[in-house]
Amino acid sequence: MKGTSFFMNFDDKKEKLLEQLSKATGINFQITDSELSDEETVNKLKEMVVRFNVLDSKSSFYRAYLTRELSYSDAAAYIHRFHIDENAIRMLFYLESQVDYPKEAVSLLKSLLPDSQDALVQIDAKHIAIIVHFDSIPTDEDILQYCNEFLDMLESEAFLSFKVSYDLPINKFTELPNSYKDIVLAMHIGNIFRSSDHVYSYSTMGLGRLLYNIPVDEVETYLNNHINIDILAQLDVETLNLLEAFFDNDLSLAETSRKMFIHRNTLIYRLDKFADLTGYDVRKFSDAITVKLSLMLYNYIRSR
Amino acid sequence: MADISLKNINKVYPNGFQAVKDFNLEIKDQEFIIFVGPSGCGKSTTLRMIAGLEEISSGELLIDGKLMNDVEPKDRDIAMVFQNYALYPHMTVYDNMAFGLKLRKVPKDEIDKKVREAAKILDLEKLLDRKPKALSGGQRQRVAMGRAIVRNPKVFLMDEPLSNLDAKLRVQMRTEISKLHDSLGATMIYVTHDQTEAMTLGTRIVVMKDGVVQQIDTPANLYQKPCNLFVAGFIGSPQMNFLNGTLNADCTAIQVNGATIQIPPAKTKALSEKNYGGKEVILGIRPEDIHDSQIYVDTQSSSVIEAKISVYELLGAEVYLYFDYAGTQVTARVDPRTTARGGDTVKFALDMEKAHFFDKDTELTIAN
Repeated sequence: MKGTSFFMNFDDKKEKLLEQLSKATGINFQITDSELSDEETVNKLKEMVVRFNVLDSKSSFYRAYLTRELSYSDAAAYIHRFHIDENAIRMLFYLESQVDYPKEAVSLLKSLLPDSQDALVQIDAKHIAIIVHFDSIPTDEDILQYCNEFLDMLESEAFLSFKVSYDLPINKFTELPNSYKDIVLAMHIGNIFRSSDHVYSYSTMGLGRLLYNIPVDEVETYLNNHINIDILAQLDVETLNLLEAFFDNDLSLAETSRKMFIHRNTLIYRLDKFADLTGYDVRKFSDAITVKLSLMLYNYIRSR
Repeated sequence: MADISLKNINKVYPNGFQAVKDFNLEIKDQEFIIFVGPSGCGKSTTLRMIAGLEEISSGELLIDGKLMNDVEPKDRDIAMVFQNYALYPHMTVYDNMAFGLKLRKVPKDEIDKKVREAAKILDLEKLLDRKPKALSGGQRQRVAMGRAIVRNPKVFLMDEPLSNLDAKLRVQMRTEISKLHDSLGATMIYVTHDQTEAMTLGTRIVVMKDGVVQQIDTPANLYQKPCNLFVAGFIGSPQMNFLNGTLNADCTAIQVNGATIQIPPAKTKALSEKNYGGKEVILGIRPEDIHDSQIYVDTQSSSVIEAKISVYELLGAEVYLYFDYAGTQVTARVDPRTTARGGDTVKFALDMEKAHFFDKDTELTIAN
């Protein structure tokens, strides 16, 4: 909502929201003897603003719609007002900063979105959603290029480190809130299972999404029945990288040794060493699955 | 410009993954340092720690003697250039280069001066009014460089800046970056996974693997005196050939696949001093040190092997001959006038003066 930026303190936010309400309704509201906390009061006022149809910018409308503060049925008036094409091909990107981002980040990202249909939505002090419109369905390469451009621009121009998650393109406006939910989850799961990466795609996180729903005690039981947590903790980065590369290269010794610039015999020696330590020979498909799962679950436990 | 010092730098992610291990490096003012290694080796992470985009888990980063660990990235006086040089599509080249300075509220006349100076260095003066879509890939990359130059930083950090360009443009831009380094006199740190880029650009190269520095040296030394099997295999294209063999008791010869190959005295000395007599070692030989010409084979009869050529590849100025030997695929880079063809059985002589020997267990170099 225009003027209700999260850069303001709660009192300023309340004042701004009250001003918007009074502008929309002609009634002067006041807050007296409220038992609600500042945050709760601001949220209540936001709800009222939504109800009274006073979201006065496309960005504030999108924020309310994405976060389901505003249902699709209530959104119709805004869709009309902001000339939004409901059937356009669009994609949602979700950017996360480790620290509160400055206004500069918003200016930089907005400059990358010259299409008036595109929108930048400030979700909170650490998160930004970006809606980009396309003439045709973008390729995976195009999408990745967008993600990297957002990140590289923020880093090179403003030295701001962000991560980005995304889902598949959609062509129905009703799908936007679900897409938003998915990319928020993708960011969360990505931070757990692939914390050193900066780009997460919801659609390629299948196993992570599945494992994320398993209760921690069951994960611990699984690990203790297969590869003990203490043994996993002992593995050095060299072994972990080698295993990852071996899995990524479809358990091919030749391809893995080529990509890792190591001798085939060295790779065999290290895999033998791992088998001696854990009892699992990752050259066998069933053992490879167990090890892959165990490593992911171990990361999950550590992140908790 | 700036001296940079990295002391015992480590990076550990929240999930326990250690991306960089005990990284130590002293970079002198105006040096052009290259970080090279396969993907996931920690080179970009190290660069990002220097920029302040990644927190340093432990260790010290100093620029001009000043501790930078807790200094905000924007206050480190550095500029970065990335692979994905996003330009603002609706702005001219001039505005693209000026945008960062405008955001920092730099006075208008100063912006103008800096943009025009950078445009001159990069030969973009005639393109200042153009929009990005009217530029070629190389020109766009130069604009991205221009955005970094206008900041007039102490240090330039470049993360695979040429990866999105086609092969021809990469070669052209490589030359331009090299010229840029000379003209700006800036300290530059450049990350790449491409060893050709590393060899042609750097004054010194840092080879990394699994977050660990393998060797820091000049391009020539890395090629001629690799410190271990990994560096030997990584630097050079086509890759160095590695053959398993057993040394005789006095290290004067090595048995490889039934053939006895004599070892030159200097290398014999190094091998026997380190007590490798009678032991299994890895023999490394670069493709250009395997010869098929009759004269060479006749004069180097003590280092001849015989093999059946599986593939013949003519590249114009040279020919690659591939053959299997001792269970390994071997590549020889020979003169294009060679008469050898796929399917022929050919005698090859190894230039053992240029051979390398590696320990089979530690993979460290025994003799270069």
